[in-house]
Amino acid sequence: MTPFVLRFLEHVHGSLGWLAALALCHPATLLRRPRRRALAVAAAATALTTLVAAIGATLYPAYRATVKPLLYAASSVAGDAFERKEHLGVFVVVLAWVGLLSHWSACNDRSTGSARSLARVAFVAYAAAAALAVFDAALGIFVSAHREF
Amino acid sequence: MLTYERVEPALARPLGARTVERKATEPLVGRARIAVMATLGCVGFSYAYMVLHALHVLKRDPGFTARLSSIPLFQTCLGASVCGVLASALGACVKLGGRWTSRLPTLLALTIAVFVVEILLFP
Repeated sequence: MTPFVLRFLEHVHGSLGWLAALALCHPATLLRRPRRRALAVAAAATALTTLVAAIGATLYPAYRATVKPLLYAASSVAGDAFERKEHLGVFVVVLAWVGLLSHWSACNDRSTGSARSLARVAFVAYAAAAALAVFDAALGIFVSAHREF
Repeated sequence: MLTYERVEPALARPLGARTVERKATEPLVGRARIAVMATLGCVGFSYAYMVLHALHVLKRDPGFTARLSSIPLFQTCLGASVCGVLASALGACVKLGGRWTSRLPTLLALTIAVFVVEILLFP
């Protein structure tokens, strides 16, 4: 990939990352009530989060080879922040998918005990994913303030 | 007016009605099973990720992850995914609506807390 494409994808990743973080807050808010149905919202937020993660994974090998050493040289705090951001980003995607599958299961069957538990799982997963995604996006700004492609 | 169907609805059911009813609930049970498997897979993935990450921080990466990818982050992800898939198989054994199902939200919340603490303390 050319430096122009890498820089472009980096900016798209950053902007969509914030959008995904805010999108995850929507199902997290709606699913506080276990009987609430928000399948389309949850699916859209999860799809957006997955897209952002896919762009991040595409950028990662080049970033690791060229930018990460310079980032650590500039500031070890920023380098560690980048590492935290990557690990938490992976976890956000996993949580979003668990939330979506749990909500998909729970919103079609509200009567049984397992449905109530799965509705609770969906809320926990989306609430944590939203909180971590916002934190992750803030770390992204902090890191990009130090070094970019 | 009291009819036979009103007094004895179960007996008045046509033959095979119970079978049809059971078939109608089967997709719901299947969805619940998938969700339970996904949640247990996420828990297994998280703990495996934490262990593999700790080993990487200690520079003791296991041999099988090195074969998965040349990049440490992808090694950890793929290795933890394998463990997550194995853990999700446990979901096939869990009784739906039982004690373990009701504990899933707590288990997930605990896992999230432990994962975040480890990543924040040992990036």
